[in-house]
Amino acid sequence: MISSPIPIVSMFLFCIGLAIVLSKKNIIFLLIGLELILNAANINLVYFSQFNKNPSEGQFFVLLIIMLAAAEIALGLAIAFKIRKYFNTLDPEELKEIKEM
Amino acid sequence: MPLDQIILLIFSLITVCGALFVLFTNKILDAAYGLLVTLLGVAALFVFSNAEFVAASQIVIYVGGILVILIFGIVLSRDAKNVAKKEPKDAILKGGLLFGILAILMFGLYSQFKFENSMNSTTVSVRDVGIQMMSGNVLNLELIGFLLLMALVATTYILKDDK
Repeated sequence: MISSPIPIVSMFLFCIGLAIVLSKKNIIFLLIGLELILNAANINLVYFSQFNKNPSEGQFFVLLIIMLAAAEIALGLAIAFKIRKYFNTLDPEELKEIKEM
Repeated sequence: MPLDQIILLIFSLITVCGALFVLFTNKILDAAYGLLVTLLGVAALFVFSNAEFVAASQIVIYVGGILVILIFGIVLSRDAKNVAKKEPKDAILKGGLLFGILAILMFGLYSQFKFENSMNSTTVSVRDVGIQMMSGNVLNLELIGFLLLMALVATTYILKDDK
């Protein structure tokens, strides 16, 4: 086992994010869970890249992931608003018409 | 135990507690505040991993950009019907149970790994990150910028009023 608590924090964040995505009944909660999962990946990349010969490599990819998260949250919220407008609900279990398409 | 280890433990606890609050709360605005605590804690963990530039951009982009968009979205969509529907109580229990099972599985997987104790870390300056970004990885940077532009154009297209 490693002595630093940082990878264990990353593991907990991933588990909590996956539990949120699997159990919540609101699309915006799913987006928050996705953010937690991305952050868990970021922590792992940054922590283990500091033992690399070229540690800025991992940090560069963390910056790319942060930019991707910005794009993802904007598109996700827009789609959530449209879903609320058409179906008048944000519960992903009730969106049967999308499933059957 | 040295002082920096204690501070690191405190920040780790803050991060995990914020995430657990997001898992166990029902109100979505409170969940956004829990996400705020978690993101600030993650920025502190980045500082402890010798990544100051990433920590600064985490605060600027995540807390200053993404979280503000999220909170605006939640506040603007609050008055709608059915949005503030209460979660049933067993949903919280289900979430806790799922988290427990996942944590046990991941911990079992994690304890299989052998890490060398003699790994020495190297510090990295902002200059190194900039050289890394603009020397060998310009294509990745351009592609991500193009993707961000396309995502924002698509967002405005999706959100426009269709007659």
